Amino acid sequence: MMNYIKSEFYRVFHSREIYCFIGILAFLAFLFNAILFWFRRMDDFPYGITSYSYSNLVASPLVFGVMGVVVGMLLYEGNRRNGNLKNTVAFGISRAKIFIGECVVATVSATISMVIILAVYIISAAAFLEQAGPVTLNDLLTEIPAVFLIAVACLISGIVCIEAFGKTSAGIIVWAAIWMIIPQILFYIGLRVDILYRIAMWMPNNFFGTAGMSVNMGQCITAWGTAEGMAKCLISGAVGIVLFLAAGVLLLRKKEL
Amino acid sequence: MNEYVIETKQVTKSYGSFLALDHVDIHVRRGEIYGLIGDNGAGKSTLLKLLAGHSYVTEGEVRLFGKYEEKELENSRKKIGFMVEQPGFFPNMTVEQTLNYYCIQKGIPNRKKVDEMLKLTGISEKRRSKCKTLSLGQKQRLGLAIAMLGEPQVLVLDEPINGLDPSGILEFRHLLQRLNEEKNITILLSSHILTELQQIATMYGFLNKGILIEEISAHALQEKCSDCIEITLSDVEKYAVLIEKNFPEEMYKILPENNVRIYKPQLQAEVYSKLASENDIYITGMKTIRTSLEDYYMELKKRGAAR
Repeated sequence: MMNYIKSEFYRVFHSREIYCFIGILAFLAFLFNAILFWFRRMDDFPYGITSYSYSNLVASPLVFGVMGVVVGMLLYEGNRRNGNLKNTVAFGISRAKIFIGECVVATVSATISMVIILAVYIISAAAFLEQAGPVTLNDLLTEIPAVFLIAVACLISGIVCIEAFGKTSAGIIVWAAIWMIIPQILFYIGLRVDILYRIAMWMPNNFFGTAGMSVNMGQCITAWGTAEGMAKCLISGAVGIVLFLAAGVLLLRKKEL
Repeated sequence: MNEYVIETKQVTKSYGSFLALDHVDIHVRRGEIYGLIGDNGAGKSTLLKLLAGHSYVTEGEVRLFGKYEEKELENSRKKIGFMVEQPGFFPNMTVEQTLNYYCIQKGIPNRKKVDEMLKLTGISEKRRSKCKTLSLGQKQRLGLAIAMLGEPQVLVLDEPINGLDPSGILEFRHLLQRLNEEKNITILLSSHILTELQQIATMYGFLNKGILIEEISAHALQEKCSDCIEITLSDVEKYAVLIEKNFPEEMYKILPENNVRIYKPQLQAEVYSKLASENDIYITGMKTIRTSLEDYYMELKKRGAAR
């Protein structure tokens, strides 16, 4: 498996996809803060502060998960179509090892991407904008460990979906159903059925939503602000990783190529 | 040590109600060039996909180097180079990067292997070209180069000459022969171009509609496809009696329009004409006919269909 992982890193760093992804998102992060800075100079603009800039990420933690899926899809959506998976299987590497290898490579690539993009985001915000408002850099920095395992689970589930369903579009729909639509439905049913409410509130889409957080220009109450909340984030992410890894191994183990 | 490097035992593969392979037994010995012959849709690629691990048998057993457990099969595949269906690559990577990628994957530390493979398969000048820009023939060559990485003991090639130009086919054939003779690499290749297989195969397997209708050595096939002599005579009945009397060993058949066909003639053609002339039978025509592999295959197919 180590050889497979090494070869995949060779491929990732010799392909332009990941560089384009990092470059575009880093540029957009810089541009966003630059626009806030520009507007702030022009007139009395209330959003030209770091709190507003950071709140975009702090208020929507699942953005990290979505970005994880994008990296996973960027690296592996053509795997089946291009036929390179056939070569790897014919080399005697099992599908389970290939899947785990893909998850490792995508996680490391996504983490490196996140570090670079976040660095650009934070540095440009700190350089251009006034340090004010309820959302602080600390909220953003504590969000990273809280959301990391959940983002990895999102990424793994994304790979499972595109590999299991073959078509990227079908994979995206199933992924969105798992992470957003089903939790939302459970949440609504949970308003009547208590047990379902408790289950629903272990799902990131719900505890990162309005029922679990309140982040705006007036206050910053995050899901990971307390020790219990942080534990919930970590446990939810860890359970997600185990579940989706197991699902991937089971679904892809005997998949025909 | 097991006699066969590749063996299938009663392998059946079905996709829903469609039976792609029906109780197929193939036997590939070390050092052989095994030609798997069949029409499009006969099940050649399905069989090779099972060997490569791309799909799984519905019934039966695949054995590689005598091993049949899933884990052992995976290990055995490390000693085999596969090129099944369209060779797969990353379209935006260059030829050299693609080979480097698979070198790392196979744990080959020596990157000189890449140069060697590029040279061997004749695509050195394309080393910096992106895979998506390659022609079909060049892709086939790159597919072979990938399969050859790691010095496999066996090569499994599915329709390897597809897309190659005539000189490419010739080169490819010589390359396979060289690999077989010099490196003792066992080769299993499928094709529906019989004349091409005929030039290199030492063993044949005929597949028709998922059924292996015959497995035969090139030597035995050559005997079956031997010459026959067809003679047009003034009196075929009399000539038939003469053959029965003078050459009782000969197999012959009386055909319409005063023709007699002698199968696998054991004597020179002149002997048969002399027999006619000495007995006042006039010969109006005489020709030697060679039963080709195509004829043989078509006959086999007919027999297979009649079964």
